[in-house]
Amino acid sequence: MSNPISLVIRSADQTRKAAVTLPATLTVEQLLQTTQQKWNLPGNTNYAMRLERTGQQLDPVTTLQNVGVQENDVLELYPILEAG
Amino acid sequence: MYMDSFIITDYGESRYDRHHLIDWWDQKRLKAARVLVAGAGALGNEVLKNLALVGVGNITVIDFDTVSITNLTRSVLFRESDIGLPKVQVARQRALEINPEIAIQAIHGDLEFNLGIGDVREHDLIIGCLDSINARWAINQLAYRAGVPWINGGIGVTEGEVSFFDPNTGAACYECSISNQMWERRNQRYSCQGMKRNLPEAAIPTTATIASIVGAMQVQQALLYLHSKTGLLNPGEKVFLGLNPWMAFKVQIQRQEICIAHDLTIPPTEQIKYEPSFVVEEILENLQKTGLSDPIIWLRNEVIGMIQCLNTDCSYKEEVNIPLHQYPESKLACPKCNYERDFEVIKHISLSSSGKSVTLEKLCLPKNEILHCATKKGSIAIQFCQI
Repeated sequence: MSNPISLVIRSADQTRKAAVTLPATLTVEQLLQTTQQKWNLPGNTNYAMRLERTGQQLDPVTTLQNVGVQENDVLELYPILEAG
Repeated sequence: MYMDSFIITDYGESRYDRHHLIDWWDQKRLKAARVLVAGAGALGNEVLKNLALVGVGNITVIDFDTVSITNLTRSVLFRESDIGLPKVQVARQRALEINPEIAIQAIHGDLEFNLGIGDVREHDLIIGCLDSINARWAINQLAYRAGVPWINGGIGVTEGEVSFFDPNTGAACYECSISNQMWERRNQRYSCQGMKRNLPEAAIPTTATIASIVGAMQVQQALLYLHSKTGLLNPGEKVFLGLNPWMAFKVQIQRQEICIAHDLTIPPTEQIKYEPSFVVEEILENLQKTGLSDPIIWLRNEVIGMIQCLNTDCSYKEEVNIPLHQYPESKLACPKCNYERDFEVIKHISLSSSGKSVTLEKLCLPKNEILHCATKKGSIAIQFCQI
């Protein structure tokens, strides 16, 4: 069992921010869904998570421990924009 | 005395004089460039306007939609008198008014079904101005099959994104970034059997200001690419920006090793003149004779052939020959007795297939389509030339 990991999650427009401690086995997709629910974000929008330290968009199916997230990292939630 | 020979002559200005002052700008290169614009909505309008202004010489635009009154708040090329007309027709006409020195081909059709890979290959670059995940997935498939880079744009109310994908590199493609949640939403468009569901298109709020900015950034990325310059986006990168509050950041999309789009780029080695009455079996036999044994031709879009009523008292048969994803789920019930119907889908054809005697006409191939063919010697691509 791996240790939990402490992170800061914030929305790209910085209107929402939370310091969280999460199981390292959580997938990015699970984190996305939980964040979407907790912050009551529109259900008809898809979101992605960016690791601020590297600028990488995190692969949704990968766990936090395998995606390169480190203690006290900042993850930024931003919408996938569909309109054109 | 030499003052007499110093004569200032007035020379006429030309359209591109200000461009000539830019040291890296090559107007001839832009004149020779061939750019495909997918979508003629808010972003498509901005992109076409800018491509016309900068003098990109050969533009193709594809869109299946017509102008509606709600387009008039964000679409610089449309007027109230255009309502009901095909967007591509109006956009072409207005862009030519901006710059009559360029050529624009307008295709009023669906990029998923009406654009052949051979025609896509005729372009240097694709600019995606689309409004759904499915359409972006479709253009990504076209781009990777054709080996042509593409620039994606997306807009919200005050947020925008631009990303760049190049099949000629090992960087991530659009499909690499599609999450399970996005696939699920995309798949809601189709029934379990793959038929089209009649879902109303969701109206997404956007404004002219963000469309102008994102469209301009897409064309700036195109200008850099066409001049073989970098500086804005590298392949697999996305820039995200917000206007309220201001923010901008870049994202590196991760390449997914399991993403099959990267294996689609196969240059065509076989050219076959398209004849509607040509039987696929003959093509397969000819391939076999040239040493390409056990050929299997894979369709890009599965096609429904025969639909038959399952009611034994009715047994009504109907030959539809239409791509599966285009056939409405609501039409599946038997028109005679309203009973459930079963249908055959053609996905691939080999010499052992029961449907090998099908003609090319019934496969609903777009003009200049390129299909992949698996053989014992590996996969090849066949172009069905139809000029």
